[in-house]
Amino acid sequence: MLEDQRLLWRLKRGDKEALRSIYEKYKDNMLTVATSLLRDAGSSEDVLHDVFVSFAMSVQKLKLRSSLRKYLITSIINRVRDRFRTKKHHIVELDEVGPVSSDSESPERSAILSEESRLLAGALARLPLEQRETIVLHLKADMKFNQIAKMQGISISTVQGRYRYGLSKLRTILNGEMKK
Amino acid sequence: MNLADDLERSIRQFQVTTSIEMDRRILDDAFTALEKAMPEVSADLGRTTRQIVVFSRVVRLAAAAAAVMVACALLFKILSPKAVELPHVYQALQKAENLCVSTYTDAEVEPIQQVWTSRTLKIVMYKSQSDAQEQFDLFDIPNRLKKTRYFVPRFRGDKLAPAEAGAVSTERLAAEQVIRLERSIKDVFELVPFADMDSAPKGSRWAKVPDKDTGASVPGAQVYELTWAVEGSFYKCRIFVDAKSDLPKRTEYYFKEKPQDQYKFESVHVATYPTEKQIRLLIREIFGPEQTRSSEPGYIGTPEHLRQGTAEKE
Repeated sequence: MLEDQRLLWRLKRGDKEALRSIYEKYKDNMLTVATSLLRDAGSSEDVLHDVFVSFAMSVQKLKLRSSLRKYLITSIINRVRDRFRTKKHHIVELDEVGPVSSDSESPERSAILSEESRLLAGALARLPLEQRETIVLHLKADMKFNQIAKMQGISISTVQGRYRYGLSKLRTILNGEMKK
Repeated sequence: MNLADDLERSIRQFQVTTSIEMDRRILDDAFTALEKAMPEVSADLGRTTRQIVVFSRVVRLAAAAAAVMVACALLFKILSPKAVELPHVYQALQKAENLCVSTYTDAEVEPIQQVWTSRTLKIVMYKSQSDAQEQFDLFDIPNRLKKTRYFVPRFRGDKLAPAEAGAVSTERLAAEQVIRLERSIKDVFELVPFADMDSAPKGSRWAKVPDKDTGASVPGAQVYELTWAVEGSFYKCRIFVDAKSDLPKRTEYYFKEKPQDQYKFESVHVATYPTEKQIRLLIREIFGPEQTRSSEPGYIGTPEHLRQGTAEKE
C-alpha cells in the first residue's frame, strides 16, 4: 500500500519507471482475473492492454479512494462487463462448451498457463457468469461478500449462494475431468 | 490431492502469466499514452535565448566587459566548492548502503512516514502513524517474511505513557513480492524525483540556488533545484546536497498550476544515513531478536461456516 502510494506519486510526476513497476507488480493478477472471467486468452490480453493503457493516460487525474490493486482489478472487471455487454457474450452453460481455447494470433502473444491452470480456467469457463464472477471476485480480487453484493446490486445471501453453488459445480466439473 | 480437493486454495494460487511479447506491447503503448498525457515543458522553462550580434562600438565594449566578468567568474569557480551535477546525486544514492527517509507535509512536527532501508541487510521497514496508532511494517527479504506491529499510545491521567505494543503478525512474501522488494531497495526514494536520469521529462532543468534563497539551513549542503512540467502543472524539487558525499540530505517538493503562480509547498523528505548496526538495533527494538523473526505464517482459509455449506440452488 505504501509502496503503491510512492509509485503513484512518482508516476504523476511523469516517471516511466514507476509505470513499469506498477505494471510488473499487477500484470499477472490483472490477467488472471480477466482470464478467469473471459473464455479466451486473446480477449483477456486485450482487456489487460486496454485497462493499463487507459490507466497510463488518465493517471494524472486519478484520485484513489481505495488501494491501487483494487482500482486496477475493478477496472478489469468493468472492462470485461463492457465486453459482455457490447459483444453480447452469452452466459455459458455447463454442457454447452468445450475447454478454454486461445484465439491469439501467434503463440508467443499468448499468456502462459500451466497445465493445472489450464484445467482450472477451462472449468471456470463452464460456470455461469454470475457464479464465475463471484468466485473470481472473492478469491482472486480478495473482495468480501458484502463488497461483491454492493458491486452487483444484490443481497449478500445471494452472493454467498452463488459462491457455494459455483464452487460445488466447479468441483463436479473438475472431478469429471480427472476421471477422463 | 487433486485440484477439486482443495478448490479454494487452487483458485487462489491459479495464476496466468504474461508473455514477454505481451509485456513489450502493453508497456510500449502505455509509455506512449503517458507521453501524450504529458505536454512539452512550457515556454517559460524550455525557452532558448536567440542572440542577435551587431558589430557596433557599444557591442564591442559590452564584449570586453563580458570577458572581464567571465574571468572573474572562472576565478570564483576555482575558489568556491565544486558544483554538483544531478547524475552525481543519483550515483551517490545508488552507492549508499543504509538510509532512512522521513516524510513531512505542511507544518507536521512528526514525520507522516519513515522508511529505513538497508541494502546490505536486504531489509525495508516502514513506520506510518495516525492519531490512533503507529504501524511498523518490516519486509525481510532473506527470510521472505513481512512482519507488522502496531503501537497504541496510552495515557496515564493526562500524561502519555509508553505505547502499548500489539502482537507481531507475520505473512510470507510471494516470490514476485521478493523480486519487487529486491528491486525497490535499489531505489532512490523521494530524495530525487525520478528513478533515473532517463525518466526525467524533457526540458527538466537543474540549477544551483543562490545561498540567500535556500530557505532551510542544512550544514555542509549546497542547494539545487530541478524544475519540470507535466500535464500543465509545474514542479520544483529543491535538493540539499552534501558537498562532500553528493548525497541528498533534504528534498523539498513544490508545484503550481500556472506559470505565473507562486510555487506551493507539497512535502519535504529528510534523509539520514545510519549504519547497519543502528538499523539492526532499531529492528530488534521493534520486532524482537532476529531468531524470533523467521516463524512461518499459517494459511488462513475460508471460514468454517462456509466450508460446511453444501451446494445451494439460487
